Amino acid sequence: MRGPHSLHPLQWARWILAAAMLAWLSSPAGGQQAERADAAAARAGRDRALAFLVDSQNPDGSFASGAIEGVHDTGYSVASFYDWQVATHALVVLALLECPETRARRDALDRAVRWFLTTRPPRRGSDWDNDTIWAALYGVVASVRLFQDSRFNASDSRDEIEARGLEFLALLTRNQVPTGGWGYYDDPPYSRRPKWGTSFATALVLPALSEAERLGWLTDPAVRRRAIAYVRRCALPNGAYEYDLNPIPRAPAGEHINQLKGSLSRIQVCNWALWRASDESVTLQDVRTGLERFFKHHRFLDIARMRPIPHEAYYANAGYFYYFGHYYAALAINVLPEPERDEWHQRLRPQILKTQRKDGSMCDFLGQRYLVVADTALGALTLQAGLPGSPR
Amino acid sequence: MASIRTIPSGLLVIVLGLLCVCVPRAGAQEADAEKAPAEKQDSKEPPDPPDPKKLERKVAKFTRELELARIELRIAELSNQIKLNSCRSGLRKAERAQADQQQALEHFLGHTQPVTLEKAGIELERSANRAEYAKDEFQELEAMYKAEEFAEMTKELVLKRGRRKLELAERDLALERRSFEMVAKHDLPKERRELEQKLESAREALEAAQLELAKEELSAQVSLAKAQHKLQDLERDLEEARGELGQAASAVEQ
Repeated sequence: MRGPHSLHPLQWARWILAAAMLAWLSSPAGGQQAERADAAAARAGRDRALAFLVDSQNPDGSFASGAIEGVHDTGYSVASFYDWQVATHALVVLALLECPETRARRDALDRAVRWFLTTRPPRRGSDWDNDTIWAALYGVVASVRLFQDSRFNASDSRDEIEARGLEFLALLTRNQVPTGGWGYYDDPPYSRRPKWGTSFATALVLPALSEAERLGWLTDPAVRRRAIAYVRRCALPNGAYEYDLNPIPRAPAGEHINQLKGSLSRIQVCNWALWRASDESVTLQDVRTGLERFFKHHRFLDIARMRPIPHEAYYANAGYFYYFGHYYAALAINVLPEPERDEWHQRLRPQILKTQRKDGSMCDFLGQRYLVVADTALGALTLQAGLPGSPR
Repeated sequence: MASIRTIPSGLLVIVLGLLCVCVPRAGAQEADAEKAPAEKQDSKEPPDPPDPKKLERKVAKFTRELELARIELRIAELSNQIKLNSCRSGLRKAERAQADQQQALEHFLGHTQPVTLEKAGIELERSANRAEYAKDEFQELEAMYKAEEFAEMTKELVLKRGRRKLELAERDLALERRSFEMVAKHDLPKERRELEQKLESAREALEAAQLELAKEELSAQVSLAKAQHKLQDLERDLEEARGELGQAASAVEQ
């Protein structure tokens, strides 16, 4: 006769199965098949991406094009296409700076730097369309990084780099919205200093602003403080970041973009930026949690990738969140203690490598060159960030 | 166009002439009729003197008839005025209606028809552009996914959407072509025909109104002349009766 605590063999099996399910769901992969890619695969993917970039460089040293190349992109101001070209170009300069040098890459970098330093400054395209901010944001990031690179710091180009950096910085300062952030559109009534910012655009430039302040380029520390405060105020209690700052921060129910699943890429860039700015509102555990959620809900980024209408996927995810989010996820990983990083990078790499095309390029939205080139540069930077010797 | 006054003038002359000829002849016949018994009496025996009482009744009768004839003349005048006013009003309306229809046709030919055709043409062109744009978009999507071998999760969704958009744009274009043909070859010609028919009807109505007025003017003259002649006859009869009565009264006194 069985005692009161005895279990039927089937009941035992049920308990064991339940325990296994719990263990699986609480694993870093969050219940998904956790793929891994090692450093060798990352190097191979990075090199193919860089080869594509080097091959696609224009004779004048520039990348992509400042002209509209597809009917899906109509509706923006004429100036926006040049603005995006300059921003794309800055990303390629960053990729070529960060990645190991070869003769071909160095030659491409030198020509790219020359174009970057001599091309005409971007200008606001229309009353509502201020996509020139993308050029200014990545222009500042690339200028600071270029100025810190020993290959260019000691060259004849030093003064030119500083001048260009100051130029981009002045453009940013002039366009900082009253609440402290940066955005790329304006709302009526249109004003010379725009009024709309976004968390992610503001966050991406925070570390570069710290460096610019240290270099003496940014003389008004309030600019950076306001920007940090803007990003901090976009943080929501659920761990997500608002797309743009609202007087009453909220994440409405349903498929709102400010839900976690619509904030996967913003979480990475905002956590990374606030941590790098030594803002106490973000802890390393927040960075880990943000990364965990990134992988747990990654399917929402997969589904959105290559959809041609902005924000058309679930939780208003847009295709172009993809490589942007992965790059800053890689940088967020790199603020974690050294022993933790490789595990995260091994999980991150497959999400980039699985999207790489035969010619080495990558794309997450439409097919215009500025997007393909920018995405490939972001992909290369993501892979490079997980390899030994990459900067934090 | 012939004047309203020129057409009936000949008729008017004829009618008046007939009236002038007939009325005196009627008076002459009456005089002859009165003379005949007298001549008979002269040939046999002297007539009896007229009865004064009969003559008084005759005078009273002619007096009453004369009063009625005066009223009838006034009635004829008023009736003519009413009929002529109505005819003239009808003529003015018919003139205005014809002018309006003429203007409507001219407006249609000068503005409505070319503007409607132009608008329909632009709508057709817009649909053609939309279809071409949808085709360009779809081709761009196809090219985008051709280069992108990994985006299987979105590829079919997006291409299906683009294909349907193109199909609908092409159907819309076909419909717009039919619509243009309908407007150009059916609706506008039909509207033109209707306007031309309305103008023709208005012209006919105007001509009828002109004839009606001419007829009424003649009728008015005839009825007025009749009433006047009747009045004149009665005045003369009354005068004669009074004369006879006076003579009879003198004879009785003698």
